[in-house]
Amino acid sequence: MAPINFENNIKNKLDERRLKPSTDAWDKLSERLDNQDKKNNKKPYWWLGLAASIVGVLFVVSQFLNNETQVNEAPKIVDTQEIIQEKETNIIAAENEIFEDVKDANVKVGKETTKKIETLKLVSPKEKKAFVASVNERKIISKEKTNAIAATAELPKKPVTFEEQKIQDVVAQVQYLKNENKVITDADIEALLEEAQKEIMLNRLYNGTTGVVDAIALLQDVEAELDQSFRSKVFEALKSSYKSVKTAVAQRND
Amino acid sequence: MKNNRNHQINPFLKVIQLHKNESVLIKKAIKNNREAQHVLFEMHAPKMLSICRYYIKDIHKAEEAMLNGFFKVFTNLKSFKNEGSFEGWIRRIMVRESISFLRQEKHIEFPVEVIEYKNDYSNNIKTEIEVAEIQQLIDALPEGYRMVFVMYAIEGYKHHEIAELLKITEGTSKSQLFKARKMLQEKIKKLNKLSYGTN
Repeated sequence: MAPINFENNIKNKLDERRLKPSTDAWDKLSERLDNQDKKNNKKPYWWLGLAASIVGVLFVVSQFLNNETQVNEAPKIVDTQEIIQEKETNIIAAENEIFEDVKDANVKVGKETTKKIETLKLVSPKEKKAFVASVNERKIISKEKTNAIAATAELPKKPVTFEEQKIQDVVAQVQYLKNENKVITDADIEALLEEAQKEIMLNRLYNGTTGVVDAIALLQDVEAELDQSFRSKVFEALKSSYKSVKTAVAQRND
Repeated sequence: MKNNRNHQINPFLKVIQLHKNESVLIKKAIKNNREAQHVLFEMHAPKMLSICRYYIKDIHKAEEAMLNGFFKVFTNLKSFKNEGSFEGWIRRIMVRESISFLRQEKHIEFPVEVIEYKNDYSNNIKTEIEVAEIQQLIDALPEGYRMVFVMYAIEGYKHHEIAELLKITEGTSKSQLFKARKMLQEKIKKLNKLSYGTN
């Protein structure tokens, strides 16, 4: 207990003690506080300068990076084009090689099919015409539908095939003739269709870029013609029956 | 009678007035009003120098530590949240500043020399002598003992707080206090023997 009493005693006595600081104590402190205030006032300008310099550096770096990316992008495009061109030529070359192989292998078969085509042409020219007309009509209708859909929905444009282009040309020519002469005969339409059909066939069979006739396409075309012959016969029969009925009705009054 | 009543109420009003004045001064001092800072300094500096003197034997160095403490007080016055007393807040800053000052000065240890400021103890001669003797006893303690003893016995810190501030363990703090007390008792006994011998 003795030390605690002693400690309380000295605590009380020391608490009451006051030591007067030296006369220049406040002046020293005041001077230090003034210096601190000056530093604090300078700080914002310093920070502003630093911020401005950082912004400047960032701007320059961003500009530099943008230029770099543009420079990097350009050769990439060139490279890909070259690769595509190379690929295309390789593919064409490969196709030609394959075609030549196939050509050699199908020489005999090709001769036989060409004979068949010639015989078909000789045997049924009317049937063929009718078939061509019907096919073209269907194509025109489908094209009109697709045009209408494209006009209303404004879908992204697809690459126009040669056939579609020809159909459009034929339709345009018919429209033109209608506007000019107002009377279009079936013969005119048939002539236009036949011409278009010939061009389509030629385009299918003959590759303009390579200058090679596609034997496979030729075979497929002949097969399609054989398939369509029945339909064309039916069409022809219906047409002829309609004509006979028409003449009968016309002759009835006579 | 009226004058007597006013005389009785006045001390209480004075305390309120002082507190109001102090909070007004603090608000002004936060805005770097040098005059307000000066008044606050004059109000608290004698007490704070006495506290710094508990730890630092040299009064000039104690004053240097006190000025460092006041510099921190005025530059960090915004962080004072009026939760405790302003004096208590300054006092804690002074203790920390004295400890860090001693840490910095440790490598340049000067010989112990007790300086008496007779003008400062002019209020009560009896107390002056006693306080001077107490300070001499504390100054005679080794630095570690002195810091722990002053913080525990006079400032009222707990062992875990002392351990945290001095970066020592609680066990070290307790042993330092024990040794300081023992040393002080021996010194008091010697002092008593001497005083009895003289009387």
